[in-house]
Amino acid sequence: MNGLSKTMKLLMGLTFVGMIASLYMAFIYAPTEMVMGNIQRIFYFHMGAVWVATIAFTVVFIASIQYLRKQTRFWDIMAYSSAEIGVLFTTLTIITGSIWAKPVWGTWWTWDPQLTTTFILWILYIVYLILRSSAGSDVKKAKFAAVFGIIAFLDLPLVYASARLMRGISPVVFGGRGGGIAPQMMVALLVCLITFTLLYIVLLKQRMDIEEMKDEVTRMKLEEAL
Amino acid sequence: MDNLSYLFWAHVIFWILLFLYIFNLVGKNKKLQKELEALKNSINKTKEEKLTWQKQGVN
Repeated sequence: MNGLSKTMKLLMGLTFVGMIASLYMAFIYAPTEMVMGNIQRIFYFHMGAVWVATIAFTVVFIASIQYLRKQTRFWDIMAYSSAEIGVLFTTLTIITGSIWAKPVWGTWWTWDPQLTTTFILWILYIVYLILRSSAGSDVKKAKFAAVFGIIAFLDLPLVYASARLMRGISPVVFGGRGGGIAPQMMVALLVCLITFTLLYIVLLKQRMDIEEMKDEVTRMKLEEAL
Repeated sequence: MDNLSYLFWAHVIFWILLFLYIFNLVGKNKKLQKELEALKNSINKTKEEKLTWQKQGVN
């Protein structure tokens, strides 16, 4: 992409190096899990996707509140862009989770509380994207989408709480019943989470740039017509 | 499928979807940059033409 700032180039470089490091950590550095075997190595990228989706939907929540408060296009663009990335990574979460579940649980999908709330979250943000894209430059519809983005976020704490409070089969990695992983696995996971955070920042900036350019095109077309 | 093939396919799908999204972003970005450039040129050309007409009108 043209016109990238030095910071963005640095972030992209770090993300690339981080991805190579994450692959190394997930496939070579991390020990093989005793019960599940190599299939458990999906965990590192699966959790990375979960992490990005969580950040993305939190940003949608904050940006939507800011948009309703300040009514500036910047926050609207941020919420919309972040929701798109959130939906992509929730899709990746569901797919990788499903592939992981088949050999471990014996099924591609089960209506476990955490899986069900994740599925609802995914649907809610797809609806948000449809609402927001149909709003275009209509401020009233954009505000409605922002309110929907705030309400949809309420499902996110449920996803995390469901694994801990309800009787499900999803594993709990941090705290709660049966939590905890080997120190080497934790290091590998942390490398993945840092890399995926960088990836999210890069994707969000690029996605927001596209929306800003679309606005600029609309403004220039008007200028040309006058 | 054994465990390794599940691991393989999970990563294949993961990377394909991620790269599709990134290529989509790059494509949109390039298209919009071209559009912006064309619009800038068109606006500048119109401004120059207007200036020329104004000068001709004065002379």
